[in-house]
Amino acid sequence: MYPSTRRCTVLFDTSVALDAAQEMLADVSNLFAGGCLPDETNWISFPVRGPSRRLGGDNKLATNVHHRFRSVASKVGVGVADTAFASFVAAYNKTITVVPALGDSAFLAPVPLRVLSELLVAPSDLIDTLVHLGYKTLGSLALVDHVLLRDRFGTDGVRIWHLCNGNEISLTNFSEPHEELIREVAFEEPLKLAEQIVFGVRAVVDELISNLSRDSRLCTQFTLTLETDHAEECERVWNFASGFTARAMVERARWQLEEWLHATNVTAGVVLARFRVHATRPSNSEQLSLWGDHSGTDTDAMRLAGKLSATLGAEAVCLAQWCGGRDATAIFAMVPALDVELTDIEHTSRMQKPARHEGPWSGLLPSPLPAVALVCPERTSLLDRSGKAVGVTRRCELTAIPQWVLRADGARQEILTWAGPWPIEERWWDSDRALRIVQMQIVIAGRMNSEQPMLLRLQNGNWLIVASYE
Amino acid sequence: MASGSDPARVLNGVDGLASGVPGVFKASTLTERLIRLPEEVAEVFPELGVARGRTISCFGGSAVSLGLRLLASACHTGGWCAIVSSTRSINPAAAREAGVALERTLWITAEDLGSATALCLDSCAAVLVHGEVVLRDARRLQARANTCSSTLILLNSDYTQADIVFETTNERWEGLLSGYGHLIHRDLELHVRVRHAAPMSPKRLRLHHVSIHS
Repeated sequence: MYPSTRRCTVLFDTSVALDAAQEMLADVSNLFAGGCLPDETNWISFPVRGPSRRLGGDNKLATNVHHRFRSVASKVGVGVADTAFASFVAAYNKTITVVPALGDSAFLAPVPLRVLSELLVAPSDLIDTLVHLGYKTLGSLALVDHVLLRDRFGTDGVRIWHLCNGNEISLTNFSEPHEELIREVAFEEPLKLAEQIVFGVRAVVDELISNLSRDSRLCTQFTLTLETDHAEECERVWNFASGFTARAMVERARWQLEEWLHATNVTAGVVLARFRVHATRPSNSEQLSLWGDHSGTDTDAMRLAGKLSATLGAEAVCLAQWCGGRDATAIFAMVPALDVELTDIEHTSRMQKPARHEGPWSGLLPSPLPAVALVCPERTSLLDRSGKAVGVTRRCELTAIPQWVLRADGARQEILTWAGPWPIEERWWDSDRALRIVQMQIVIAGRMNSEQPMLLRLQNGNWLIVASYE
Repeated sequence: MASGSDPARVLNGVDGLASGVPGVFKASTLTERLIRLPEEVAEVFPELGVARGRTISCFGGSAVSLGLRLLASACHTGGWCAIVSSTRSINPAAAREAGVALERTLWITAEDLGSATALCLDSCAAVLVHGEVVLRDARRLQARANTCSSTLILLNSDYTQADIVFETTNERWEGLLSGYGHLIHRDLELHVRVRHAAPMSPKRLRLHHVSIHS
């Protein structure tokens, strides 16, 4: 029996120039198989079933692949095994290793457990703990009851157990899915507008997802192929670990269409849309909202984030995430909205809250916090009544009472009132990350007879205006 | 009943909607059409009502803090909001203090504020724009906000034809004592101008802040 999940993994030297690596990737994917996974610049993994049969066996395939990569890279490892992980381990020793069919567990048994952290498939502290407990090889851990591992280490533990036993998990099988998981929509007239096409595929996607949900499955990965009347083709793989709803799937179709129709000069209307579901997962772990679906506004927000990220870049559309600290302007960090499941309000709410064990940050300014943080802090000087510069002593006391602030444009403004200085000294034991600053609040006269407070910071001997209370 | 120059009447085109006459309109009509104003503002301008889809412009030394409060009020029923700026300078912690629900807030950085804001108006209950919007764009955005029933808040953008203009002057801060204490709160004078309505006399109010840890 020849397992359909059998894969070949190639690891090659990272010193290979990126262009060459890209060319090799293109070569290999064209030569051997579609669905090649170019996840990193120094390794690829692809299913071997078809190419192996064509070239006359796994050994010949591995030698052929090795030969091709050797012409460009200095160190090349090729591994063929039943699962992606075993093929990775096989390729890790930089030679050609072909694991016999159904021989994964025997091959993995003597491999040291440390390889899991070296290959970055498991957290190193977890592997350290397991090694300390006496599990030195993958084989020794495979004999442990996985329930115990689950209870002690959670999903990571179960994942490692499956890897040790040579079970295929999570990595994609790009072989053609069962026909029940493929849906094709052929349009009678070539359609040029994205909205028309999306409308046309909606019913089919609904039917596909409801079929899956009848079997308590959720689609986590699908490929959408679009074809025009002139045989132009656009294919893209979409992943979503939480599982696609029909609406989310249609949404992805809309994104792909809009991107394709705008970015390239498509010469004819779309005549065919093909959905192929590659990966599913059980739906019983999914908790839907009270009425069974996400609210319209959440979906709208998700659509908006997708649209804006496509035009402005992922970094330009963000959600705030709590990260704490004593810097009043950096209590929240920005994370790209595309990395967050916006329809899961519980998750986004958790992002805004400090961790349960996190205490208050001593040294953080009390409320109110400055409303505007200057992107480029303005360098300034504090002057006393006689015009001398005001600094801070080693004991963090002002050398004189500040009377004037000298702005970057040369203007001298009177300080109406002030408070501070408040020292912050962080990570003094680490010379690279150490921070020693002093903060002050001052109030100067603003426009329209108003008072304008500012937050000043003394860093490396320079006073900076870092934020203002507008 | 509201008087002839009542801004609420002008804004909503319906007598009595914001004047609080009981039994005239269903509560749902009120909540659907009007946005809740920040408590401090509603206290001193009880007759002021702002319907959804209006454009609000904020000027002055406390424009950002007031704008954030208006944004929080416009989204208190659970809608998403967006903060659009050319440089990411608004402090999220201050937004949280003003009551903005950060879990439903998108922070967008764009050089072309007009087109990014237009997209946001389609999907968000309220959009706050921090930065210069050219007059032609501002007019278009105002029309779009009206169509989409989203509240548009422009900060210091020099756009005087907004449906309602808030201007803050005479800020006085309390808490600093020449070397001691820390900023606590501010008192300010709020000027409100409603488009096509008679000017209202300015009122003094105090802006309070809620700690992010509470």
